Amino acid sequence: MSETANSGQEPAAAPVDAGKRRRAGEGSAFWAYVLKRLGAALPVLIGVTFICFAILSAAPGDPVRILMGQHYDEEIASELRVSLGLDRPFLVQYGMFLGRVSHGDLGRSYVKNLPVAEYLAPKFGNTMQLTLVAMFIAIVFGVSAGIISAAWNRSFWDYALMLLAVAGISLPVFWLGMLLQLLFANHLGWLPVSDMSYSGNPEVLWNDVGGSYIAWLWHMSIKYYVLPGFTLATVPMAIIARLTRSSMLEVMKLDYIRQARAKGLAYPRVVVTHALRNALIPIITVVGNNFAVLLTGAVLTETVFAWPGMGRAMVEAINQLDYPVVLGGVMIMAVVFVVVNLIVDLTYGLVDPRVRYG
Amino acid sequence: MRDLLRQLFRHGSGFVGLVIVFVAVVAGLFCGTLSPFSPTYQYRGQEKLPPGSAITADEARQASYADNGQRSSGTFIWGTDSSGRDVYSRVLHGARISLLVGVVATVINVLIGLLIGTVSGYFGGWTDTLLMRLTDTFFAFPGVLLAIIILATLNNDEVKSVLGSISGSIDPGIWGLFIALGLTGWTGIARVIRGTVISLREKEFIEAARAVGCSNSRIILLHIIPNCMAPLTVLATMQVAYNILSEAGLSFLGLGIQPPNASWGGMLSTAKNYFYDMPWWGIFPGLALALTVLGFNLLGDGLRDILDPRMKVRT
Amino acid sequence: MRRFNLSTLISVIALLAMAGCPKPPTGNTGNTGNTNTGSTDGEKRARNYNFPLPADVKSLDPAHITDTVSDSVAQRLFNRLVKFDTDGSVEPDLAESYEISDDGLVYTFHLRSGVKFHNGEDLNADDVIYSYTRLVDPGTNSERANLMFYVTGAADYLNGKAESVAGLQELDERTVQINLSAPYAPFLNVLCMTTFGVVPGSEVTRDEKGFGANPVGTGPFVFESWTPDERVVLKANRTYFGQVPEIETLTFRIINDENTRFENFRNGTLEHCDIPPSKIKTVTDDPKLSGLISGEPAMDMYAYGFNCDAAPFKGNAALRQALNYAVDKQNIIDNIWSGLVTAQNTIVPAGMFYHYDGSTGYPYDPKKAEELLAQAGYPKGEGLPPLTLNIDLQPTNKLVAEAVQEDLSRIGVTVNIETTDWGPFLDKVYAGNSLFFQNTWLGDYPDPDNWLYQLLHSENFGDAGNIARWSNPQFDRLVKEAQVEPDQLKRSDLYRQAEEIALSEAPWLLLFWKNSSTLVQPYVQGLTITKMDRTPQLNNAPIEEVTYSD
Repeated sequence: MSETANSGQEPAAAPVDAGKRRRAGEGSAFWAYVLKRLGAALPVLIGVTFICFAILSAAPGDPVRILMGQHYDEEIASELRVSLGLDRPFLVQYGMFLGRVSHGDLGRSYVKNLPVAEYLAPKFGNTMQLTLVAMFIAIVFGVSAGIISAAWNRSFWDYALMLLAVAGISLPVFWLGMLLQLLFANHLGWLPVSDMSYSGNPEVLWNDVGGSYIAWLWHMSIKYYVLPGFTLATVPMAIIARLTRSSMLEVMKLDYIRQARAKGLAYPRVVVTHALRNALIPIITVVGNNFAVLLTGAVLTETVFAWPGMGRAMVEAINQLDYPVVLGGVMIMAVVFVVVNLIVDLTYGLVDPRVRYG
Repeated sequence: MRDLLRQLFRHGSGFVGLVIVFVAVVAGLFCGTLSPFSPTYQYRGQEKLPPGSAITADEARQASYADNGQRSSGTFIWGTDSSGRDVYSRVLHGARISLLVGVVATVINVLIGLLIGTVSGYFGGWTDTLLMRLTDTFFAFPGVLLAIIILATLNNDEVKSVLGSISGSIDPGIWGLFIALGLTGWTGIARVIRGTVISLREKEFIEAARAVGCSNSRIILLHIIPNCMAPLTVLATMQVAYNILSEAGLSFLGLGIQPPNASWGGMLSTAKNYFYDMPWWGIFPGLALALTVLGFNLLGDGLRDILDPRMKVRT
Repeated sequence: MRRFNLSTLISVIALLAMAGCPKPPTGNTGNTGNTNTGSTDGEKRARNYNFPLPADVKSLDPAHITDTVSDSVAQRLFNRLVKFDTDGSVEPDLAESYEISDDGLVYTFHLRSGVKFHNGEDLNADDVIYSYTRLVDPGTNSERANLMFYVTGAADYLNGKAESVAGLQELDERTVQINLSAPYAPFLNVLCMTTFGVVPGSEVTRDEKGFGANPVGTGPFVFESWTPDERVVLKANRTYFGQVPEIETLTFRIINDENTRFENFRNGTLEHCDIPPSKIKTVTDDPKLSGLISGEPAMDMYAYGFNCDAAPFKGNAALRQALNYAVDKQNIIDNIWSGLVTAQNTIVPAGMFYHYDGSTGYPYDPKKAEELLAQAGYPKGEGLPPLTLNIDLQPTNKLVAEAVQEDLSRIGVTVNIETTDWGPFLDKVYAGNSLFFQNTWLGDYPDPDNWLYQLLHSENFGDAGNIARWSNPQFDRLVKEAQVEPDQLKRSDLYRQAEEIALSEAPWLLLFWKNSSTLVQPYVQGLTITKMDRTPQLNNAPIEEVTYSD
């Protein structure tokens, strides 16, 4: 199979090699493959940071001036420039950056008075939580819709669900978020408009809900995830539904499914155990890809719901010309992207034993 | 072409998409004549009016202190925003921005994707490895962030004055959107084209062309690219939808089109805070945006079914 | 064979999501406090005040506080020698009493006894000397060093020409004497600023860089923790020399989004909040909410500045006046701010010993604007290049800019709006790279000096405060004279003359005064919101005096 990160543009490119069948995870081939993939990821990481570095170096505004705020003094400013390395040639600066990164140091924010890693870690955690919730919603609803559509192909439900799926891909997430807020938060008052957790005293809330843990947890935390979670889930949900449907339809045409049906197995059982199982590979690819995309691209959802996540922190950093945070964030996101893609590829082996790593 | 239209018509949802796209294009092209009011003129005293409110000639005279060529009376069929501007006229003018950005950025995407895809697929070897690594790099770049970073960089006084001088009546911010979206959305196209080219490369008619002594560039231009047109048409149609969504997202974040010019994303970003009290201000631009994107997606789906039935669902 | 199916995947994801769930408070209610035995809401609430902040704190070191958000937290941590009462008058704080010599040059402060820092150390006169000296220490590099320049020898110390600040003397353990190089009428006012908060020398010298994130003061609240971009937590100072606050925990919650603050207030999870301009009508129409508003017109200006040191504004007062006349302030006030702000007709706000009563400023008069524009050499705007207006990212400020843009376009002046984040915005304006920009100011102390000298005197040209880069020798002379004039009537007269010059020369485009209107929960008592407050920061409101009713 190709060494490159799987794109998601060709989700059905299942890495199946029928010639030499080997068990997944068997022997050194597995780890050699992991190493090889990680090695191939390195140029991508370097490329991403280089592009980011190159564009930022052309950006307007003087970070030193921003760093110093109101009290600008040319002498101190030039000292700062030297100590930050901003007076050095572009490539030297980039080299310095790579050197620091290789020691695990992402630098210090210009604006926040904090190390970049320390600043971004909680934001990353917040985005991760939202992404996991959204992915959960997307998989549950997307796969169900796909199964229904495939099992009752060309029925009313098939058309209705697939139309919904196209609409889901077409809806601007921020607008959907606004509509959900208007309906469920402003008009019905069931769910909070924005924010990510209850900000009052948890003990008071505990007494208010009468000591029920589920109710407390709902008001404390869960209800804040519902609207942003569904908003963020819309697009992957729609994609998963469409893909589940098409790959299941494809698999169901194959001989062994027909045989299974001929053997008299119940239709639902055939659908779930055989067809779905074999349609899993492209679905996992999409889940993996969208996971990375969601994790990195939740900017708009986070903006609408005032979610204190990575996307908003990055936009803010770009607006504030806080280059260390921008670079560090892009770096973290690229790493996540590469790692998630690797995990996706390794998962193939778990799902389909015919997959060979090499 | 007529055949394609007939097939689309038979396809149903694809035809619906075509109709929506057609309406959007008409709105974008003729927004000047279709708009009952100026999209930027603030009718003082007419702020926050619900849809269907009318302005009389008398009120108009009060709202604008001098005779300045603005239309003086009529109905705000979709209401006015918090500054007294006609929402309907602004949505129409937003269509022009959205379609312009969607199409131009897609053309750039296609040019880059086609160049990288064909070269990579046709020559193979280290050229392929290098170009695909580049594609991976751009693909790994976190979502809309690259576009935001590019826009921030272009937000430079010198660049702006140059762009401003060549933009004429169009918002100079549109150039930044062309560049930012044009440079970021090509990776999918490059990959699919590469795959198509690899499968074409070994076909007999290419072998024949090579045997006759055609140059590589001639083979690519005359034989490879025409055979990529089917997947390219489908991908490009859907890419327009994607770019329109991205443009709206960037404008929603306050980047790109600058006030007072109208863009759907920009309208939504201001309307957001007033959504409860003035829903019309946020509903109509959002609906226009969602429908236009839906139109391109339906059209893309239809074209895919017609042109390339074997193609997978794009993610 | 390893089984892998969808349900495994889903349960893994579900488990991962569950891992972040909060723990119920049942296990730890016992050790969090002793007042928890009460069962009514009031008693439980009394332990926590949730205080919204619109941005993150930058530093809590008094020497480095330049923004109102950091100041809001620091106000509660540090004491100065003197402080502002809620009506803006100066009253003793760390000083029990003070004397001012007849020539206005010598200030003697007698410190309270028994004041302890949060770390248990006693506060003595040498801490005051240390804190003040530190402001002009080159090593500290304080942004506010210029506030010390009235003190004899402060500038010499900063330039390395002296070993200590000659004008700061410790007479005995509890007496501090400050000598000024020239009389400076608003000096006591200046000393009330957080910059002059007294810090413990031992703590600061131990880790000077880290002090801003781990402050130790003498104030009514003790620093507990700061989670960047999330919250700053303070605890009541049980050994405070003044009235010990009833509030047990003061939690500053950093919420950037004004609507989220508002929603949190409505849900009862914030004790007060500002009113988003887009929600003013909602609030005033709702009797339950409108009853909760308190506040008054504040010394909080929102105007635009012209760069008077660059073409086309340089030396062209007629052009600046024309733009002033062209803007319909009432439209902005009514439509964008729903009447919650007041038109700006003066440079010095109301509420001090001096105010230019009856000034009409620049009423909306497009005809006059057109005439002046022609007089300025740009009839109907011809020949005038498009002006770029620089503003920050606040959505309401953008609406105001669009209204101004429209007004100016009606007299033929083209304006392009450029929105940038606060940091890059200041970068541009301070460097003099902007022609036309947002010019906002919240008074540091209630004295006209804070406006006329700080913002328009040529000694503060550029990034020191006069960002309009305007200068007028006669104005400069009058403002300087007023600084040394002890008699308030004579000072008023001088300020009146100075302000008339500045108003007619129009270095700014006057817009409006903001209001400190704040929504306060009905059970919150004793929160006096003053004209010196910007909401929701409420820098000057005495939060330590807040009590709860049921």
